[in-house]
Order: sequence, then structure tokens, then C-alpha cells
Amino acid sequence: MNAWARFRRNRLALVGLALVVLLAFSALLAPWLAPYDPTRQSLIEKRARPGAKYLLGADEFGRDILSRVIYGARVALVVGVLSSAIALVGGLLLGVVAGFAGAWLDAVMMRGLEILLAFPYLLLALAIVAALGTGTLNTTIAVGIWGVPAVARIVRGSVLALRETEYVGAARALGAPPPALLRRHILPNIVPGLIVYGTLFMANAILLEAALSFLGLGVQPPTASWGLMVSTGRDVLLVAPHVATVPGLAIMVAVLAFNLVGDGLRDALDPRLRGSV
Amino acid sequence: MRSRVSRMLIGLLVLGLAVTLVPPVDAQKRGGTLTIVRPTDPVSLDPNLETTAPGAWVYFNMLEGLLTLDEKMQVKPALATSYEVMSPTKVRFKLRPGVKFHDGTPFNAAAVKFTFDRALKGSPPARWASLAGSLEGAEVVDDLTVDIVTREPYGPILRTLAMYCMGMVSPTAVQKMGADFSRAPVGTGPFKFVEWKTNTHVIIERNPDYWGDKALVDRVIFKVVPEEGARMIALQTGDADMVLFPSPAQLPALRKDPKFTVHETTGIRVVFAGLHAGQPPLDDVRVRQALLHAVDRKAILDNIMEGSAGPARGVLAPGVFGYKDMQLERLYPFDRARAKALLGQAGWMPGPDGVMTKGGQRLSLSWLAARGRYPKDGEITEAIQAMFKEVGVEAKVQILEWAAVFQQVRGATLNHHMFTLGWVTSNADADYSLYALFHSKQVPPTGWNTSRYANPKVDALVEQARRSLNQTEREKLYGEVQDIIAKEMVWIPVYTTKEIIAARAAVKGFNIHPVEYNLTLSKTWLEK
Repeated sequence: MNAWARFRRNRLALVGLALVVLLAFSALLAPWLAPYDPTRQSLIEKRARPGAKYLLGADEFGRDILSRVIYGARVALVVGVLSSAIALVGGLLLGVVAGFAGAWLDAVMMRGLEILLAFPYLLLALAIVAALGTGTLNTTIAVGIWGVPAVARIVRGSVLALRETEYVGAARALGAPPPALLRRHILPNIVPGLIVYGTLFMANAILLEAALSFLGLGVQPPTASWGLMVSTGRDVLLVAPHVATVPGLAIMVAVLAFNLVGDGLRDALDPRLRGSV
Repeated sequence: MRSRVSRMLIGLLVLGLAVTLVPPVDAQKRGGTLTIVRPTDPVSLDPNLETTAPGAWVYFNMLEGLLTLDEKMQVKPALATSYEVMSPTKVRFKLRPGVKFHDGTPFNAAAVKFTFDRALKGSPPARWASLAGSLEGAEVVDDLTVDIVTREPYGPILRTLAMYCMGMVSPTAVQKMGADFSRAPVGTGPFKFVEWKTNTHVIIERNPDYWGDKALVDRVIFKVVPEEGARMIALQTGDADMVLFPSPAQLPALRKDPKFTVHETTGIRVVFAGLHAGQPPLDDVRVRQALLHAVDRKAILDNIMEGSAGPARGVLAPGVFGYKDMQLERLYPFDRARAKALLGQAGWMPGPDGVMTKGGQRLSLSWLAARGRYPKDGEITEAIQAMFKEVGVEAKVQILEWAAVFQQVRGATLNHHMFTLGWVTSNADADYSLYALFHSKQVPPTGWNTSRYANPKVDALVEQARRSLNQTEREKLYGEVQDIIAKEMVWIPVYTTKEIIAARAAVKGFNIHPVEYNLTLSKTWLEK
């Protein structure tokens, strides 16, 4: 049974996948899907309740919440995908070098990464944003850098384990140079795990972006970001609960979706689970 | 017929007078603890180190100045009983006899001199020293007579001495306590210090030896509750008697509820979007005027401030000495067509993406703002940003923490076109604002001319008004200054604060003051 067939049998993962596709869809087609310009204000309609004109209501500036949630998916996905790419590529490079070089270089690199890992995640991201400045791009970089150490450790661990396997030893004995060893034998075995990790990381990246924006350190107004929307909506939580709740739900759904897909992928790609349910 | 109407009118008038003359039926009660929740803890309780509200709310009840400002913004005697102008740079004060500091030290001319020496000649000088104009110090004449001296004639002297941060401190306590004084100040006021637990609470209690009417409540506890929502819940559940900075969105419901009283009055802080007049494209007055026309200030007032602020009628708030209505509604009505026309006159034409361009450059303004420093500051910034878009002006807003905004706006060079700021005329005298904000020599880092505005005529007028001791003349000069500024606007004034405090209905006798810092609690009592 191939991976896709195993994935397909996991109903929850399929639900997650459907939600991810929906998110990607709304992010791509936002200008056509959103009923209004997400930055169009109509102060007189502030905090309008969900209804015929504004399906999910309006925020404190009379902006359409549905349109902002749809455009917010763009920010969430762009930050998610790009920061995952930064984390994966950065982590892969560092992990492979550390795992392959071994000795003192490995020790130095790993201690450095462990120092980064010792920081609470929000503190590290805050420090990076403080150094780079706010905005979508810098938020993406901050989230990406935050992901690098964990990826590097996973990759290094895999490289260390694979280096000792018999088939890699055999290839080396036959005179295969390190680049070929990497390309032919080691990377193909690391990539599935990385895909799984990358998917799960997306969920965390979306959450961290929302957290940074909630704190006012991420995406800047008037760009629609779910975290920013929750942040401004919390002041009116008692009088107009929908302003914060709707983007809050969007964050929840997105994070859940990527977690479900990630879990499904892990089960589908994990060789040890092959043949099981 | 006419006589009946006039008789009726007279009757009404008499009735009206009678209503105002009848003393309140509630009899004042003594005792109890008044609990106040507010968002932030003081930096210090020493006016030398703390001039912002969180500290002032507390120390204003413990330390008294020579003079004070009442709720109608009139200067009233406090520790001084009378004054006499001796020369253009010297005012002689007679001090109240028999007054003692909380530690038993007698209050006298030496204490006044000690307080001013400590503030003005200390190193560093007091935080308020730069706001006190040319105030130089005090000279002892005899035990209960003191001369206040200025370096040059200084018109606003009385109002400056009546500022909330001019409280007299006990010389013995300062000498004995050293740096600890800032955590447990000793003054002459109706309350004295009990305890300060950082970021938890400050407690003060009635001063039984107070020279005037003694405070009615036994104790006042100032608690720190940073979250607006949590403060409102504390009021609802009875954990707090009084909330400073209540949530505007919850006020309508609170006003209707007989269990609560919303105390409000027109404040004297103007919150505005500042324009950097020293750098293109805002050095062109037509562009600045266009921006004023582009903003629907009424919509902001109605829908964002929701009744918790009043319209800004100029760069000063009504109630400030020297204030003149700038007639902004007449000069700069909300009119997008006029805004675009003015931009056109200045050479800006609509570009392909709707943003105005001139010589290949887009009309894009970078804008610094904080969120939460002033009521709804982030929100008004976002609203104006959207209004600018409608007339083809792009605003790139950066919402940063207050300290970062402050540093850049007050820094020697400002690399942004706009900034959201508020300004309180703390001594209620136009000099305090018009000099510091619009004199060309007051450009940061020296002063507060954050718009980098320069007009020699304005410089001459504010200097002349500062030196004059003739209040009628000063008022006229400030009127002229405001007329000039109105034509060359370097601000978009957005609103004038209302001071709003929500309290349980059982809190009686409290009078809210137009100056946020002047939180007077000595006349407040609790019904139960």
C-alpha cells in the first residue's frame, strides 16, 4: 500500500486536508471571494452584528470581518509556508553539516542551537522582531529562525543514525564520496520526516504569527491578520463578542487542520506503521 | 398674556435658584476604605521623579503646593494665603500659619525654599523643571513669608505654582530618608502615606492633624489592574469603588445603572495627528490643509470615541487660559473634493493605483503611533489612515510601543511624516503649550515642537506673552498665535479628552477635575 492510500484511510487527516485546501483556496482567490475590500471602513457600521450585509459582522471600524478573515488566510499561509521553508532549509543545512562533520564542529553547533532552544519560544521570536523591526516579512523571518534549531536537531539525529547503517557503510566502503552518500542514501531517508515536521510546524508558525500580531509586534494595520483582529476585538468582547471570536475560530481551525494533516502524514509515511491500520 | 409668561419665567428662575441653593440632602459620613483600581503603578511618589498620572493620582492627595487649581481651573490658595507682586520677577507669598508636615516638621518659608532648591538646583533637576518656564527659586523673607523669583518676567507664574507636581516636601524627611523618600513621601496634605507594594497597591490614610477640612474616608487603596475588562469587573463585583480609565464601550450601560455613577468632565488634553512640517511633502501648507479636509473628525468622535471625548477645537482645549476657538469646522470642514483640489494645486495628481503622485513620487507618508497611551490612539490612527486613502494619500502606519514612539518623536531627527500624540496643558496656561510646542527654538531634543514648525511671528508673540504680566494682553497675544497656527496647521487635532471615572453610586462627594492628575479625594465619602 502506498503512502497516499494509507493517508486516505485516515478520515481525520482527510478532514484536515480539506480544510487546508479550503484555506489555500481562500488565500489564493481572496480578491474574488471577499465581498468587500478588507480595509474599507464604514465607521457608522462599527461592530455590526452578523447579518445580511456583513455575513460575519463588522469590526470596530465597520470593516467586513468575513473579508478580513479571508485576506487574513493569506497572511497566515504566506507566513506559515515561508517560515517553514526557512526553518526546514536552515535546519537541514545545519543538521547535515553537524551530523556529517562530527567532532568539535558538531559540538559547537549543537551547543549554539541548544542555547537558542533554551529560550521560551515567544521570547526568542520577540527578540528577533525587536532586532529586525515589525512587519510581515520580519515576522516571517522571526518565525522561521525560531524553527531552525528543532529541525537541525532532528536532521542531525537522523544523519548520525543513518551514517552507522550497513548500507551507508557499504556505499562508503565502495568509495562513494560524501556528497553522493548524502544525495543517494541519506537525504531520501530524512525528507519524509521533514515533510511531516514541516506540516506540523505550519500550525505552530500560524499560531506564533497570530501571537506576535496580537502583541502588536507582527503584521501592521491595516493588513488583515487574525492575531491582530483578536487583539483589537478583545476590548469589545463584552459588547460585540463576534469581533474577536470569528478570527479566533479561524486561527483554531487553521491550526487544527495542519495538525490533522501532519498526524495523517506521519502515520502514512512512518515505515514502522506500514501494514498496520 | 405677556405678564403671565414672564411671571411663569420668573417662577421657573426662582425654582431653579432654589434647586441650586438647597444643600444636598445626604449627610456626609465618615469612615470606610475607598478602593480605586487603575491601570499602572507609579514610577515614584516623588514629584521630582514622577510627573505622569500614575504617581500624581496618589501624591496629589499627600503633598500640597502654595496654590492649587480648582475644578473650574481657577487658581486657589493652598499653603499660601495671599500674594503680592513685588517686581516683574518676584512674587511674595504669605504662608498659612500652624501647618505641620506628616512627620511633625513645621511648614515654613525654609521648607518652601528647600523644596524649590531640591527641585531646581538638584542634579539632575526635577522632571518638571523644564515645564516651569523661567522659575528660578525661593527666597526666605521671614518664617511665614517667601519670595518666588523668576529669571525674567514670567506671566504664567501663578498657574505654574498651582500645578499638581509643585507639592511641598518635608525637609527633615527628605534628609533622613534619602532615596527612600520617593517611595514614602511626607507632605502636608489631607492624606498620609501608609504602604506601597510595587505593582500591587498603594495605601494612604486620613491625616488627623490636617490644617483644613479633614478627609472623610479612613483609607484609600490604589490597586493596579492593567486590563480594562478586569477593572470593569472589579467595579461590578464590588471589589473596587472607583475605576480610573473605564472602558468607553461599557459606559452607556453603566450610566443607566443606578448602582453606578459615571463622573465626567471636559479634560484639557488634546489628542492629535502631528505633521512634520519641516520635511517634504508636508512642508507645503496646501498638503497639510488637504489632510485636514480629508479627515471626518465627527465620525471618529461618534463611532470610535463614542461619547468619551469632546471635539478638538484647536491646539488648546477649552478651559485653558488663552484658549481661542480655531473654528476648525469652518476652516477645514470634512470635504474630500476640496482635499483633492488642494493636493492638485500643490502639484499632486492621481497615479495608476489611486495614490497621488508628483514627479514620479507617490504621496506616501510614514506614521508613528502607539496603542493605549491615549484613549483609542491606535484606532484613530487606523481610521485616519483609511480616510487618507480615499483622497489618494497613502499612510504607512507603524504601531510601536510608547517608549519607542516617544524616543523618535522627541529625538533630534524625526524620519517620519506623522505621529499620534496627546498634550495636556498641565498648568492650564497657554504658555505651557504654545511656547513649548510651536516656538522654533523648542524643536527636539530641546523642547516639544515635534512638528518642527517655524514661524518668526509666532516666536515673537509667544516670547512677548511669556514676559508680560498683564493677563489681558497675554490672552490677546495667544489669540493671535492661534489665528496664525490655524492657517498653517501642523496638527490634525482629533479630540479633547473627557476625564471619566466610573464609581459605585455609594461613593459621594467626589468632584472630577479637568486635569487628569488632580484626583482630589479628601471630600469623598462612602454611603455604606
